[in-house]
Amino acid sequence: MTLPALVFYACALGALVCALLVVSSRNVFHSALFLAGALASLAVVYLLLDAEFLAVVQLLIYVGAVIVLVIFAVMLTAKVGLSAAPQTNRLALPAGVGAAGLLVVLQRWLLATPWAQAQASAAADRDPLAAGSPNLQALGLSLFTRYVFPLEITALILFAALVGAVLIARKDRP
Amino acid sequence: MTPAPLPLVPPPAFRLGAFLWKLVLTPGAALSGTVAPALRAALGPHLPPAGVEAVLALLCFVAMSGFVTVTALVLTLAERKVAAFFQNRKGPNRVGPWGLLQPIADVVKLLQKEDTVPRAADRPVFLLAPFMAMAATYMVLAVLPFDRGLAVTDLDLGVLYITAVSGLGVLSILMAGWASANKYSLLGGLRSAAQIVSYELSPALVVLSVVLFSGTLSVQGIVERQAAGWNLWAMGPMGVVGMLIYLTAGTAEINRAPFDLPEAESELTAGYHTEYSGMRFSMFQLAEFMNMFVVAALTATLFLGGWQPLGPLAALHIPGYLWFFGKSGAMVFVIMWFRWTFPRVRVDQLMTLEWKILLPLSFLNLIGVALWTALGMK
Repeated sequence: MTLPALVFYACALGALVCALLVVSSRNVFHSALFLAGALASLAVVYLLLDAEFLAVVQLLIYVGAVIVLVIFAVMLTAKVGLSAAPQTNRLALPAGVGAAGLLVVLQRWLLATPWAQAQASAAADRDPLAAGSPNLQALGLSLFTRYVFPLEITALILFAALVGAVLIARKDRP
Repeated sequence: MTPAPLPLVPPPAFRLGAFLWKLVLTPGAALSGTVAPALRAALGPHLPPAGVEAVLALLCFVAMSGFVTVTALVLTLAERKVAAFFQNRKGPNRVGPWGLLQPIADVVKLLQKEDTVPRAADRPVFLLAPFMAMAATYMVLAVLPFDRGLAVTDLDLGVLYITAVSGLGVLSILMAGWASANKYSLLGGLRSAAQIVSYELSPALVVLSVVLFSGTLSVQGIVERQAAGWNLWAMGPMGVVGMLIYLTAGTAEINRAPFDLPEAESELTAGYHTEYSGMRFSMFQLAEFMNMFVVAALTATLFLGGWQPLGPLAALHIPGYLWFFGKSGAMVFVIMWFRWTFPRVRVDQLMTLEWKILLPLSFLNLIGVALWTALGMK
C-alpha cells in the first residue's frame, strides 16, 4: 500500500468518526470542533483524489470561515455551550427517513457515474500537490470559457446576498 | 641528516572554519538537490515506498522543528533587545555575553513551571489548543521558499494554500479562549476571532494582485518572476501600496501591537492565554513568534524578491537563503518597530481601519495592478 492510499483511508475514517461525533456530542462547542475535523479530513481526501483546488478552498471557506463563524456564535451564547443540548426533537423520525432516502439515491447515482480512471496509476504515483500539475489551469480555463455564464450568475447571486446582508444590518433602515 | 619538511597542513581549526565557510556559501538548491535523492537511493532497497516517503516527511518535520526552535530563540532575544533599544535601555545583559544566552535561560524557566489546568476548564480542548496553534504555523512553514529549490515542498497552489492554512490559527485562539472558562479569556478569544476574520480579507486581495502580476500561484514561481526587478517597484505604485497594506494587515492578523487587543494587558489581563502556564504557554508564545517571522518572510517573498539578490549585487554570489533571511530579518525589525511606535488602537478604530480604509484600498490596488498588467507594463 502506498503512502497516499494509507493517508486516504486514515482521513476517510477520520471524517466519518468526526461526523458521527458532531451529532453524538452533547457539547455544542465540541460539535463545532468535530465538524472542523470532519471538514479538514475531507479536504485531505479531496487532495488525494487530485482535486487540490477544491481541497484548499475547502480549508479556506469551511474550516477557516464557516467554522469560525459557528464557534463565534457558540461563544456569544455561552449558556448554550455549557449545558447539554437536547439532541433530538419530534421530527427525528421523518428526518432519519429523509436522510436514508437521500443516501440511497446518492449511492445509486455514484455507482451509475462513469468515473474517469484513465491515469489512475500515474496519479497515485506522483505528488498531487507538486508544482506543474495542470489541474488549476484547466479549471481556470473551463470556468472562464465553457462555464462563464453559471460563474457570472453565481457572482450576481453572491453580490445580491451581500447587499441584502448590509441592508438587514443597517441601524437606520426604514 | 635534516628532517624532511613537514607537509603544509593548515591547523584543524582553520580547516573547520574553511569548511563551514564553504558550507555557508553553498547555494541552498545544491544542498536540497543532493540530500533528498541520496536519501531516497539509500533507503530505497530497505523500505517500501510508503516507508521512504514517511521517513523523508519525518526528516522535513525534524528540520523544521530545529528551524522553529532556533528562530524563536533568536526572535525572543531580538524582541527584548529591540524594545530596549527603542526605550534607551540595555535590555537583557546578564546571562552570557551581551545577554546572548537569555533565551535559553527563559526556556529552562518555562520548562520548570507547573502545568496548570483550571478546574472549570474544558479539559481536552484546553490541552489541545496550544498544539493546534503550532500545527497551523508548521503548515505555513512547509511552503516558505528559503532558496531556489529549498523548501519542504513547492505547491502549485502555494499562495492560496498559505492564505487557507494561516486562517486555521484562529481556531486555536478560539479553543483556548473558550476552554479556559474565564471571561477575560473568552473576550480575548472573541476579539481575536473578529480581528483575524476581518484582517484576512485585505492581505488575500493584495496576494491576489501579486498573483495576477506574476501569473502563477506557486511561491517559488513568484520569486522566480522577480529576477528582473522586485515586485515592490516592478508593480509600479501598486507595489508600494500593496506592501504597506500587506504589512499592516499582517501585523493585525498576528495580533501584535498596535493591534494586540486580544491580549491587551490593561483590559483583559493576558487575553486568551491567561490561564496557560509552562510548556503550553510557551507553545502559544512560540507560535506567535513564528507567525511574526512568517508574515515578515512572506512580505519579503511577495514584494522584496525573496531569495533573489538586489540587481547589481548578484555579482557577489551571496547565497539565496542569506538574502531571504536578511530581508525577512529587516521586516521583522519593522514589525517590532511598529510595536514601540504606535499606541494600541480601539476596537472601533481597528474595524474602521480594515473595512473602510484597507479593504477599499486593496480593491483599488487590485484594479490598478490589473490595468498595469493589461497595459503590458510588466
